[in-house]
Amino acid sequence: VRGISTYDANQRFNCHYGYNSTCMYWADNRPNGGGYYEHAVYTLGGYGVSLDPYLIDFAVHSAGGNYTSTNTWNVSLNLYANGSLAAQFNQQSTNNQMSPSTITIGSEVSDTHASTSDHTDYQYNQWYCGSAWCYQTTTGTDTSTSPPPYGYWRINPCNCQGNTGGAFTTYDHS
Amino acid sequence: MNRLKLRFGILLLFAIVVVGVVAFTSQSTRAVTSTKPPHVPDPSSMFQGGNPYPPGGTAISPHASANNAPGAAFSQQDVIDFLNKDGEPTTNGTPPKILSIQFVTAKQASDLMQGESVGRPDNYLVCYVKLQGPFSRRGEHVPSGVSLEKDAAWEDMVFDASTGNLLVGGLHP
Repeated sequence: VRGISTYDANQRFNCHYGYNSTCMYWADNRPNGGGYYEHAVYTLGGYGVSLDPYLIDFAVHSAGGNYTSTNTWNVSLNLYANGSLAAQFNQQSTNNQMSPSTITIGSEVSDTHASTSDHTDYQYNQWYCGSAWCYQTTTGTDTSTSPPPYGYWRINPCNCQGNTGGAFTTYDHS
Repeated sequence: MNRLKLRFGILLLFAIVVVGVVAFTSQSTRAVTSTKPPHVPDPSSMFQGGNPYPPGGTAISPHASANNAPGAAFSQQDVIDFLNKDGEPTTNGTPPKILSIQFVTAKQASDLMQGESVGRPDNYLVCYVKLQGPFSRRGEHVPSGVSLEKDAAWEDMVFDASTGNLLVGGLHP
């Protein structure tokens, strides 16, 4: 799992302890009762920091070229700010046997007080289809629970000329 | 006449250079200020090059002291002070009980975490800390359907021994 999350000043896994923070993270929920581990990757700022300047290219893929089952996963991040590469990190999730079979697209919001999340667009949705990366061609199945955040396909993916995996949008303005 | 030609030639060359520099500079400026999204590379190519080591989260303040652990920029007491000041309490509202604080290599810390990556070279010095809960699991990023109602029994954390930054933290049933 990887993404952006907010953390109270003293909340565990905070990327800047002592301050309410907005952080990029990656985490693995390990097999066989191995627990949940979270890695702080990048501090974007405090609560409410604008993410508009950023384009985040966060990827997880198998380390050994075996895309169907492996226990080592490369976690890579390219962070662009105002169109320029601002940070680039490569990490590994090790000793973590998995056989990926689905992609899940969307966002989650959890909080103990009121919260909002602006529109987030998921574009160029791809999955590894045996020998290459293939764009998503169907709208898949809605597995959301108790919205918000709400989500919808702003551009439907299709098995058609020009398809680039559609654009799925989520938001929480409740 | 020849000297005039030479001067004219030098001036022409200078003008070409100036025009070239201006053109290059304006192109560079356009490239930096462009709002066009950058090219997104094939994910399989992204693991080559780049800095593999994120700094981690700001946590313990490093400082020079004779009390520091060998090779580290802080001491066991600094870890205790950090946990008392900024650590998250147990769900009982009490401070967590510290089970161990060990300055070990990243490889040893990874072994203590059943192979979880520390994100540092194997021989890099880190500080492994183990705490007894119970701890809230709020904020865990897990797939939908995974219950977070049961508290975690214990927690472990790994700090960069040079910077005091938190590199990874874990919660366990």
